[in-house]
Amino acid sequence: MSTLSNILFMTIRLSTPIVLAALACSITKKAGLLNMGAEALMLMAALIGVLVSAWTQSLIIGLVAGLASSILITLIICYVSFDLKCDLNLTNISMNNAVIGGTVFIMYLVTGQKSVTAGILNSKTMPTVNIPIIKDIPFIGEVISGHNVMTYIAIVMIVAVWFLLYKTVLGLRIRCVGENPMAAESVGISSKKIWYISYALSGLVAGMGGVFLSMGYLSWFARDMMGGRGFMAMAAMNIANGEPVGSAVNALLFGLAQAFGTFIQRFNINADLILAFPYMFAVLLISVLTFIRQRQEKQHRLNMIKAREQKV
Amino acid sequence: MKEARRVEFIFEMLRIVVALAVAYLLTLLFIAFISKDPIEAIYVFSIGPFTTARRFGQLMAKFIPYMMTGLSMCLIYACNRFNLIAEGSYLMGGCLFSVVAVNFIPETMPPVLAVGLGLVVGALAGLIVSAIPTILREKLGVSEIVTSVMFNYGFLYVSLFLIKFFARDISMSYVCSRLIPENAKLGAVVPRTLFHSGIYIVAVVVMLVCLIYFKTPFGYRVRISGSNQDFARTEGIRITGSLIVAQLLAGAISGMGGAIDIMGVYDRYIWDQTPGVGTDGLLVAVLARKNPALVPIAAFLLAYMRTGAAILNYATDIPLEMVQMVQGIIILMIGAEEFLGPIKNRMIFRLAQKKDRQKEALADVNTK
Repeated sequence: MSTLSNILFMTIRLSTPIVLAALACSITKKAGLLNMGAEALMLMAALIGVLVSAWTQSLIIGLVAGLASSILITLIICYVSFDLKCDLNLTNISMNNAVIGGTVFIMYLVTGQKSVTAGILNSKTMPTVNIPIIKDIPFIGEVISGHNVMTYIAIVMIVAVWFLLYKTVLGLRIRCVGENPMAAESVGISSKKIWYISYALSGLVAGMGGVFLSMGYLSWFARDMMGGRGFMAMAAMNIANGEPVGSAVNALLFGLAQAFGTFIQRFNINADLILAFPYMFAVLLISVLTFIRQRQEKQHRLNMIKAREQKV
Repeated sequence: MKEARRVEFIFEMLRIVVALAVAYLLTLLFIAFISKDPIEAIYVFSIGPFTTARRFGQLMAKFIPYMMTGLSMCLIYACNRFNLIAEGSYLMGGCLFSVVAVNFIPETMPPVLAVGLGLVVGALAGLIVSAIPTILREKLGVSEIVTSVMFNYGFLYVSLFLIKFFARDISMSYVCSRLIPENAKLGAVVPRTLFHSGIYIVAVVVMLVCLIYFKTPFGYRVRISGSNQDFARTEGIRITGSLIVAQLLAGAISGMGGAIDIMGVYDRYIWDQTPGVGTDGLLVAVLARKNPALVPIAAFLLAYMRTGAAILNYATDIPLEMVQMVQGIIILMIGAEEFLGPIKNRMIFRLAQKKDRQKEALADVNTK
């Protein structure tokens, strides 16, 4: 394997959870909500997936339980935010805290360990897939083939989320509520219901990312194993302003940065500044794009006013 | 209406008390459930921090930075912003202070000057770190949540870079700075404990912030802009300026907190992870209901719980992380405005009914 194909392979592998989490964030963003809790959702799914699959010795049951647990977390977030009227960001931040502590706590109760479940729990992992014809093509085969199933599911999910948001009735409603909840209410769409649904869907997609990390990328759960991937996903989504495809592409860039960082570290170079770079660059990108978007919006509004004046 | 407001106030306090009580009971329940020796464990958790001077010192060593980041988050929270930069400010405050102390503070410098310089360096570092997300938010409307979280991660690596290049002690196997000179350290209040004289500095900062927040026009502007921006704008308050200054101040306080923590507790800079004190500051701010005067109480409660958990962690078989989980639950319950809401509404309704009846009775008497 050449160096380049190695890095690209690693990029795709490392991007998978970020892409999934970014898609999760993009679903709620389109409903007008910032999902800061992706970190918590992924972490919970990762742990429960490992525990249940080790307990039942069944991959499918483990996966379902993992996804169900992250959906459960979203329902708690929704209940506290929309019914008990706690600020959504505050709920998400404290949920992240609670889940980071809670997963270690549960892990300790079950295994007696506080760092990793490796070697204690015999949990199942998802298989890798070699794509029949493509795998024999020299360069492309090395990069694209041989990934975990979840990586390919993630690619499907990009299309699926786009389809959901732009081609279905539910997606239209989600975007409606995101634009203006009051207007949506006035035509009989319950915005609370849409928020619950979009958050639950987001939990499902983020959960896939979590499950991938503990049952595909690695075969065990480690404390705080997300390491900020949920927040990277949030930034990736923000750069793309919530568009699913754009979010996924940005998530891929984050993955590339991570792969490059890991690659550089092999040569015993001080990689700290390189590791800091993607975060700083993300901030720069968000700022510039927000600035441009606002300019455009202003221009658009001015044009509207002009058009109206001409009519009169 | 006065009575309704009183009921609301009572319920607000009640919510905090209930949340804390539930959290405390939950913790005790967990302990009783897991521990092989629950009575011992509960004793260690609840009384433990006060049993020896050393443990009390640990509590105070946690209390001091919690107050600083708590005040910082209080100011940010009062602006109605979710700027989580307190974490990055705290980290960089500690880091830059260490770099300066190791390289530029000579042994002969009088301690007052050295500590003063350290505080200024910490505050400046925190201010500069918080400036970027703040100004981006207020001038360009960039989501401060996203930028501040990104910066917290980014600055962790920047701090590691600074320490490795400018202050690394090569004789140690792990990444840490050289020893911080003695004259730049804060002495212990109680000898041979971690309870250091940073408490005096923090006390002054708390008083200053309270003064600024409650007694100056600037504080008033911040409070109004935070609670209702449109109202503030119609009143002719320059919101942008007030909010920027408040958040910069918050960053400076947080950075100073980081410097104080390094000065008082550590021999050398050793943070290779974000210490999490800035995020805990948010909990303190929520517990204190955005009121800087209540920050010391909230910070003490948090420090008490954390110390109790730490003692439990090494004295018994219960993991420290349990408290982090309970902490999350506390914020959820206090933040939830409608928690206990139905009861509150019923009480206000009853009060109004009672008043109506009194009025009717009075009207009856008058007509007769």
